[in-house]
Amino acid sequence: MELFIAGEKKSFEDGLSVSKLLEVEKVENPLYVTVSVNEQFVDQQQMPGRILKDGDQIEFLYFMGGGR
Amino acid sequence: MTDEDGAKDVTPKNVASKNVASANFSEPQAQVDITDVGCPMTVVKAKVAIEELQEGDILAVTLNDGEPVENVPRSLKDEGHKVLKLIDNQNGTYRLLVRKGSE
Amino acid sequence: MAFTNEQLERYSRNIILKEVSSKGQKKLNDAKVLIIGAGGLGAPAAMYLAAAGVGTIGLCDADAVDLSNLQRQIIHTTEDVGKPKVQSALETIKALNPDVEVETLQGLVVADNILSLVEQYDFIIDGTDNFPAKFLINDGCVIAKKPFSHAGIIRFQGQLTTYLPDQGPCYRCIFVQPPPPDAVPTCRQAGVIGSLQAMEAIKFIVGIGTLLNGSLLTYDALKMDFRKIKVHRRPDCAVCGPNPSITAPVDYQTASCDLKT
Repeated sequence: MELFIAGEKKSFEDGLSVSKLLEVEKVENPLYVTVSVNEQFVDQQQMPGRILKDGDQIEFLYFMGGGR
Repeated sequence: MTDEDGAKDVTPKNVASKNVASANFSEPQAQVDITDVGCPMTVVKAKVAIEELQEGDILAVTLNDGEPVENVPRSLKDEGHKVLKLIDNQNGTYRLLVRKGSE
Repeated sequence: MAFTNEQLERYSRNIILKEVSSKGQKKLNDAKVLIIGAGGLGAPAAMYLAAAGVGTIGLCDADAVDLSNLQRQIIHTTEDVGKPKVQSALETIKALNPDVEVETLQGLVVADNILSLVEQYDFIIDGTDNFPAKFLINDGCVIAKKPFSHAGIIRFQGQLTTYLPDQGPCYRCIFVQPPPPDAVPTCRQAGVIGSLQAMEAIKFIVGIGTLLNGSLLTYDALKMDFRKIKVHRRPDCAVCGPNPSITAPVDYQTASCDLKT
């Protein structure tokens, strides 16, 4: 299946969960990243069970704490 | 077409005659002299002066020949105001009558 | 209030824009913006807002200027090292535009003062560098119904969103709760984002354009890539949801920061 990660089309094997995607994509600090699938936030607890579908649009929203 | 003081009327040809007529009947509600500043302050001064008025009011602008007379009427028109009359004062300055448009 | 000739000239490039005009300029001159944190984000934001003629700028920061700040905090100069940041920023703003009233608070924003502080302003800019402060500002602004601009930066990346009262989503809709202290890296700096925050404030005050309400703008300076990610309200948001569990501002523990900020 193909997913859009931050707007870019990428191929993945079917049946991938959000948790697994975070692993495959080597997302830093996966416990502290907000994930949205098709503009809906996915809660941390739901990530292992949330199976992605072909064409899903995924965004990773990272904590950015700097500013001084 | 000549005004009684000898100034030459150079109102653009595309200005509807009814507007010219109403311009002759209405006294301007305000005037501003922009001969003391250069571009783009000319436009700024005229723009601020007309923005103080109500829709339909007339502003008389005194402006210099050259760049101001090229730019100021066009800028005011672009902002949605109606250029009624442009009178050559025959002394290097012009008198521009503008009716304020809707915002 | 009529503009003086000097003001006409100073603000001519604002006034000449159809979307701003003298009406928008007057709104800017009458506006009050609070900038929390006079550093990498707050410094450029304060300078652009002062330059644009925002009538009153509030500055809140507890720190003194450090030499290592000067690489990005353009409101402070070499001479200012050691001075309270709010004082140094006030002097720069006054030199840039004497029309601007500057109100300073040399201290931290905490649960006890956030509401009374934000209530005095029309728009708030979060220029802080830590999550407890960012969540506190979010909660305070949601509770006090004040619009604010959130921004965060890390190394070459930045993010930006604007909260509008009762419209949401708020910062907490996106990030829910602060990460534990030191769980995610912080205290690293960049600098384009503060001027974007100033632009959001100006658009809000003048009432033009589309704000980053409902969008998280992300910026990657290395790729020079800007992306707008749509974000929606969380129905169960603890502060801006219909049944909020947070009804008063709360202080969180601050992460220790091994770098000087």
